[in-house]
Amino acid sequence: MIKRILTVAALGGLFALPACTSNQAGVEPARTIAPTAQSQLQFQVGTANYNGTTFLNTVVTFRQPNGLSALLDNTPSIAIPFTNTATSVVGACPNCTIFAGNDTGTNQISGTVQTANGVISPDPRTFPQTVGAFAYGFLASNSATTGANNSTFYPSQGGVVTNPDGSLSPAFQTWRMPIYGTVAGFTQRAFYVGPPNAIVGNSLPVTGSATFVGYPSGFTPFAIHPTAGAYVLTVGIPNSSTPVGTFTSTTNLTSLATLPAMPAPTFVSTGLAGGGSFTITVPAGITEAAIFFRELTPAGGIVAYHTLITHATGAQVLTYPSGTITPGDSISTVLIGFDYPAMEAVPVSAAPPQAPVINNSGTACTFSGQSSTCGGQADISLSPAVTFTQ
Amino acid sequence: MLHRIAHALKRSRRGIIGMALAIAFTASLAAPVLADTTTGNISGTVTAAGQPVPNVNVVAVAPSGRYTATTDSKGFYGIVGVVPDTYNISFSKTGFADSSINGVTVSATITMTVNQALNPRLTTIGSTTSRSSGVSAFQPQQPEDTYSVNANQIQTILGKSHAVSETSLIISLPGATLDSSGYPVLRGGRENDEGFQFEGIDYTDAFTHQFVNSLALNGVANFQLSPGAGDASVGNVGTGQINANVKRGTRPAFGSFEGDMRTPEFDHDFSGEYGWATPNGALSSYSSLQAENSAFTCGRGRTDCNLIGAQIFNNSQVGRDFIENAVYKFGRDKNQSLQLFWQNQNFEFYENAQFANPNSLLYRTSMPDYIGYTRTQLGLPASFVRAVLPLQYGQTTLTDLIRRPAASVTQPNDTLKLQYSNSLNQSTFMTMKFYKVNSTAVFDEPYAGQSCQGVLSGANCDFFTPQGGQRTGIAADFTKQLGTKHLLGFGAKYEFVHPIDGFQSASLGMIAATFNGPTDLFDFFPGQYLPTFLGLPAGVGVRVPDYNQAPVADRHDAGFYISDQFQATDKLKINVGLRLDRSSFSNYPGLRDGAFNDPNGYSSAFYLPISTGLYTSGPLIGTPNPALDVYNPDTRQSNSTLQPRFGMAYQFNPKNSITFSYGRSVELPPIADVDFRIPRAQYAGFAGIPASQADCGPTADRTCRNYADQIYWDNANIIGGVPINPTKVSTFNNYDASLQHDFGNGLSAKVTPFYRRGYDVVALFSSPLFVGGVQQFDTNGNPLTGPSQTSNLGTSYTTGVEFYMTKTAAYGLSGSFSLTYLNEFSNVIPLSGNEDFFPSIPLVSLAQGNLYRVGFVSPFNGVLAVQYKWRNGIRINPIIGFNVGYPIGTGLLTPYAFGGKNFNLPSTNVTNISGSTSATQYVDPANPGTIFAPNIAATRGTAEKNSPGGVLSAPRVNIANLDFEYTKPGSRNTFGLLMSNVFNQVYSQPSFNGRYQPVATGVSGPKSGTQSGNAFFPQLGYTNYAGFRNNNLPYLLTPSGAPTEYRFYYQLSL
Repeated sequence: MIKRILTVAALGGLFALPACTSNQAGVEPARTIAPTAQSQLQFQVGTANYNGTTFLNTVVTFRQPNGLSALLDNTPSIAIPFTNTATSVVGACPNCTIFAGNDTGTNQISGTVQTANGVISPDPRTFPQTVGAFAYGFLASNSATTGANNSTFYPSQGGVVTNPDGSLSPAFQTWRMPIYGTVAGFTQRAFYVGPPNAIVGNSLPVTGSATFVGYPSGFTPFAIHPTAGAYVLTVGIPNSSTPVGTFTSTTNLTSLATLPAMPAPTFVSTGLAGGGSFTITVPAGITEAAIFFRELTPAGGIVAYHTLITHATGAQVLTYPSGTITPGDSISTVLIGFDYPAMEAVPVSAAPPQAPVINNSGTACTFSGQSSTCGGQADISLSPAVTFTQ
Repeated sequence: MLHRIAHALKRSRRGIIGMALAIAFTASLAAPVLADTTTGNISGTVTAAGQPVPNVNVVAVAPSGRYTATTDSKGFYGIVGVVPDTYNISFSKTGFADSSINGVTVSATITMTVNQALNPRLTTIGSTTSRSSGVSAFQPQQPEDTYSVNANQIQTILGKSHAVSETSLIISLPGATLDSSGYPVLRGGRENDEGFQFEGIDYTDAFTHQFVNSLALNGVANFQLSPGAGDASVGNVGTGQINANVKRGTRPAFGSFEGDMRTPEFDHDFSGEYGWATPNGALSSYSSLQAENSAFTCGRGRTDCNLIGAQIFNNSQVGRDFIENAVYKFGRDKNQSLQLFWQNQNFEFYENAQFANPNSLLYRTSMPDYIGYTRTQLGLPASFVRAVLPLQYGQTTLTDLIRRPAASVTQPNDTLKLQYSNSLNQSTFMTMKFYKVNSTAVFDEPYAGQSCQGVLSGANCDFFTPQGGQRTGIAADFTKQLGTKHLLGFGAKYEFVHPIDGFQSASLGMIAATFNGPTDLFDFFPGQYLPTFLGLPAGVGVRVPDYNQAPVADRHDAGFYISDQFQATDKLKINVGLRLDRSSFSNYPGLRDGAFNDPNGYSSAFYLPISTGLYTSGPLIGTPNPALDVYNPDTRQSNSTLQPRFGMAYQFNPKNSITFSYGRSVELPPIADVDFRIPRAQYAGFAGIPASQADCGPTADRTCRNYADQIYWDNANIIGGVPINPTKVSTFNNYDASLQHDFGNGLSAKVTPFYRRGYDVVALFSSPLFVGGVQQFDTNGNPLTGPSQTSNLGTSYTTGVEFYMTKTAAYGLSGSFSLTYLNEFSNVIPLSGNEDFFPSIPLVSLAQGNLYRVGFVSPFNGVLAVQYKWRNGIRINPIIGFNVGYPIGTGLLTPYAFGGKNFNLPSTNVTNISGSTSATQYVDPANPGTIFAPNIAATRGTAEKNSPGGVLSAPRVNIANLDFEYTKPGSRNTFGLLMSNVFNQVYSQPSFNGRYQPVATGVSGPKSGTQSGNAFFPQLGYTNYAGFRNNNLPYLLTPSGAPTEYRFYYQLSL
């Protein structure tokens, strides 16, 4: 018999030998498989007003009966009633914009089918392999087996892969929530629901991980000009050895009218106290507005994400308490208006609702098996980003 | 006086009218007291009409020896120092009929009590013959728990003679089980907790305390397993001892030769033995040779071993094992002897087919993986990384494909013993021996993309190391029979233990430079600190040195014991003893350089300061002042505790006996647990370069003296651990009791409940990191860990029951049945790396006092080995082994530190102490909840309990062998067929799938089972196991076992 090698005693936990090489037979332990068919997929589209330019907005919820994300890995695909004209260009820097990939010229906004670890997909689409439909929104959180991380944690930051020729490619990385396509003047692509607000209170959950910085806000706009018609979201797991079926959700974009433009907020800081207040004007027609502001260090590093929410229209002041922002840090701010209860659908607590209303008609989606039909639409309007100093 | 009526009657050749005689015959085995573990005792009382008979001539004769004694006034006789064999014992005295008892088997360390009742001389003579085909489970006067088997029984357990698997033999005896790695362990102890003795020599290696003989049997006459502490002569074992003795030459000579072939893989074996002695018995010699060449194929016939990435399964094995055991007897009645024992043995295990085309064995180094790693994680160009990665031996550039011998493990063993024995008189026996065990295994594991991504990933990549060493010792033992009631023994032993461990790995050098240590990998890159300091041209980097580890601490071991076996009454025997073991390390003057306060040295590699003084004033106020350091003066010593041993046996009737024993045993910490030093010489080239960091020393708070100091502590703190660890002995208290019953007709049984408590058990842990006296935490408030340290913080509690049944018979049905139940708790986390070898315990688990049921043993095991032997020469021998499954599962709770406090929290991909690849519960990335109340969106769907290893895998038959053999009566030829793994079970124990992609509860995704490829060698780097190993399942089933095999053999007996 081979002697047991002592590799390095100090690394006993690092080099874990697998069990048994002695001809002992074994059987796979019994498993229970969850009835994934009980999950519900909701999909809404609408207009996204970027300072006068109309783009396509999408909102999705995909939840189990307990309100948690239905699948930790899936590949979404949106059938659109027009031709996707986004340029097929690969980004040239980490976390920068991805264009439509091979969706260009098709009527799809689709996801890249997962390949084996380390293998660059031969068919990159608008969504990379990391993006799937989760509890609220398209998130770059598809689980992966890299050997070191079994679940990409939203919204984790990832690196890039260098090809043999030295070029970089996003074949296997995690992204901040993107807006697909370049939109001049709108550089922030990640909007996370953070403290302090009525949704998440004064602190984020203690996760034990530094990578969870905020809850998803649920919407993903695309830098393409929408047309009226039917939009169908299909979510599945191609190549999975255990079929879970395909989920679909159909919705219609009936109105191309945009929400009013959102003026950029103004800001008054309390200085060293670390508090401040924003003065905003919410136009009529906006049922809900949220100030998304990021704390940035002087070097440009992102410290935290915060959100202030209002349901009132007109001029108003929204305040965050003392001690929220480190004096001297910058605050990058965007005011976003919604015509649907966007913040109420943020999945917080252990049992959020499985199918919250995410449209402006106030009506729930109807479900039939793994399909759904959703009425109304979900429109947003974004102010230009403004940066202040605490 | 114990009596058993024998009913056999045999007519003599002279046709004398037989007369039924009541033969008072007692064959019982008493406590293993004799210190020299190569010999046994015979003693008894001769009576007539119930009265003791003095001056009876007692002669014990066997092919290996002849011993005489005379009864004293009380009719008592005793013969000590008897070579194990089966004896005829005759009793004669004028006026009484001669009588004899045949087939008295004496085993090593056993005292046979043979009483005899004489009858007045008659004209008719009857004799009783009794033959023993094995050692019975019924040992009514044996206090300590011991299981002995002779060569016949070994044949039944292993299926045939000339079998080599010591592992199979060990686990067929109660108290011994197979751990989850396939190694035998005793009473749930770790692989290196048990003691191995061969011919009375400590047969464990000098570094790790593992076996040195590759667990291969050769020439074994008798074999003994003693779970627990054993008697006082047994030392430096934690959980029990395995003892074997070699055959001796006899007259008439004996011998046998065997040729084997096995199918369906390549396997040719040859073995032969021959023992002879001169007519006067003065000189005897026994020689034995085992030779084996084999090349395995993996799994079932349709398994593509290359596709499962495991060229390791196309492994081959070459073994040669030679034994010589020569004895020269001289002196009055040949009462003295000189023995020369020599074993010259080598087993080579190749992890690729030895006979494959060598051009196909191209090994690339692990370095290209690091290119991918650094690109991904650091965003660095490949050229930077190429400039700093270490080259492997034989490479001139980083991308050279080097041809090296197949990954292999070579395990040589050369052992020599010289022993002098003297039976000073019939009641006094002494031995003195000198021995040297030289055994250093060499593990040569070049990195091969396939094998490193195979089953044995991580541990078997990119290193080369010899491990083992030499034991050189002298020992003396003295045994004295005092009167009829006391058998005294005392002895002493000294061993010089020289370890060898030269661990070398380029990959680990990179790990040390990449982790958060004093050295920054960036320092090596072109244009960065080192090249700039050295004035190197642009684009030229400095290569990171390999990691090397070479402990050098020699150890001096000494053991002393005294014991008394007291025959209180004819039914009650008591054994008491006391033992002391002591060890100390050598103090090499040359290693004193580099003391903490030596400005000419690198650092305090040899001494671990137990307190560090600080400057109290001046510009350095509050920083360490090396002049005030105090060192642990006892760093190099491991004092033992006194070890009492007690045993008693009470035979309350001829067929029933109860025993009880208690023993405290200590196990000296293996040198591998004490000395983790890294040679400083390899960093000499960096000594003239100023340090770029200021966190050197085991507490990372000392200014680095130069760059060599910096690299040294980087390697030590990240990988090696604290260089020298003052470690105490591990102590075990062992209790057991047995109830034994003789059913008659050779059938007997014994049941033995036991309890063992282990404390101060050696285990590693990662110490909390202090810098400048301040404990360090990460951004989540979790304590950062410092270098690994050896501690005595391990603990264990083991309860269990052993059951043993034997049927001894020359013909017909015979065999053994053993069962072992184990219930063991330890503070080592189950299924953690090296749980059963050199375990580590996370500090957070230690702080909470967590106890777990161990994960490396099946709680219930059994082996049934029987044979049916007909007088027409046919023998059938089935062997069945089974267990109720092994612990699996990572548990629902995990120890976790947060905010400076320790908790047992839900185990998820966020909190699992082994990382996300070991998780079975996954939080919702969009709504994770808290670490105290996580929102679990999916699980693997398998059953879990709170503790890791809380669920058992399925019960299984792990041994299913069948032997058919035929020897025509009177013929010297034997033909046989041994079928192994009759049910063709080739799948391994389920192992946790670390490449599992969770999708939903019980559902895995398309990335499951895939291993990251390598951009540098894409044709080698990518392996997809999904199709062959069911890698989409939570647990892996690897077809790594041999299929049903057929071994054809022929034996020629001389």
